[in-house]
Amino acid sequence: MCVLCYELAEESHWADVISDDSDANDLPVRARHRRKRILAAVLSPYGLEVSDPGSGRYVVIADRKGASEVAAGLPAVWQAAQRLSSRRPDVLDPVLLEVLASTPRSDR
Amino acid sequence: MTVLGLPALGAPPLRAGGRRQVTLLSGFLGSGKTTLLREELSKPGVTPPAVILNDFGQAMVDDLLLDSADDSPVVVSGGCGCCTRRGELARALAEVLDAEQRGLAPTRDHVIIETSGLSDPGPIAFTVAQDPVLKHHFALARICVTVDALTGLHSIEQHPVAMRQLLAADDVLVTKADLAGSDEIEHLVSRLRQLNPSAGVSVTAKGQLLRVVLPPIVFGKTVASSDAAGDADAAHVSSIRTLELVTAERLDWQAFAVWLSLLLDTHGPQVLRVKGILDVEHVGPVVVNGVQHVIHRPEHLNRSAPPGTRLVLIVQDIDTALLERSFHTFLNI
Repeated sequence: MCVLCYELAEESHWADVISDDSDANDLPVRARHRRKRILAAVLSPYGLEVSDPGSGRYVVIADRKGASEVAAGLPAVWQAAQRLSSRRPDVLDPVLLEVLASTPRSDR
Repeated sequence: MTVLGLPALGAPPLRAGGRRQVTLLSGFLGSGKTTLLREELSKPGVTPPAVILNDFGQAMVDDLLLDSADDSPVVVSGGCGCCTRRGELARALAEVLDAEQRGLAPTRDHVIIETSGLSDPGPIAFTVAQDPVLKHHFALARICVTVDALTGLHSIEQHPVAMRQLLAADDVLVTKADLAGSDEIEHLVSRLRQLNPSAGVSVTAKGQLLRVVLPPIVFGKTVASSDAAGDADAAHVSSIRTLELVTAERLDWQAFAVWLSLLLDTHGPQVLRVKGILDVEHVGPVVVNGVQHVIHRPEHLNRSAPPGTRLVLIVQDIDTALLERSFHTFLNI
């Protein structure tokens, strides 16, 4: 638990670390920005938007009616997306793959 | 190193990040796990590991076969370590730790868990990797799976749990090779490599290593092989398929992480194995290893590796062409 905000420490997720010696509690700014852009591209075909509140591992997932959820880490993102969208995001969804393939590659 | 990776006496400690290394010794009923372990423990000049035995039956026999005067194995009986006895398996590991810290047992760098013949290694690996206490003291080093040279292929084709054991393996240990002909062994090794191209195959007889067939992907180097991955048609067992994903350019970790996490979220039960070396942009080579939905903590490879990414996925009831298209599409976001 964080002694400043009393937030329960989340379990580190494999996607947030690629080294035993790194701290998984936060992502570097560059990685956060890149992940947010990828998530926005993936969730857009499902009518969802992604924004970055700027701290921790959090992103905000929102639908176009104003409903939103805060998600810490990728598993929470998919759970939130499933609740907010009528269609479940799927890496094998041909519609998603078509949209992604037709989108110009973003700057890294 | 022995067949199960036991270091020689006086060898540098195996601990990874201060954690004791855990080897899961799995394999179908009667495939020779205990015989192999007994032979390993009796080899002179080997650093003895702590041993945990799990058996489906209430009355254990294996511990009597293995028991030595100075250090008895910890026994978890009356069910499988992957389901009914999973909590007890975690407690057994905690007991190993507790006994060490109390000075009741020598300090061990290595633990071998011999699972029951009906156990699925995936949930056991999950216990070691995710238990809030154990994960700080133990790290899963590898999963060794014994396959009987005579009956192993039949078991794999007839019993789903035997197939899951094979697909979870980092090292496949063919046992009882002295009882089968050389043609049978060749056929078996070829099939095992088709079914799980990410695993190495060792042929043994009476606990002695006869030969080793390296996997096409070895940590740190790529091994050319004519009968290994890529033969998708030959890798079919019902609906299980093997897919090898290769990229020449460096991989964007965030795109890969989003892709794999969404794949596991949506199709996790159908993803049986993930293993490979990723050439990550700005980072270098990273080893990824997962059994079913459990992805182990990715690690930097502290050795040079050929450029490019090679990732093996073993999946069930998934269109591998669509999966490959999805992988490359996500990497180009």
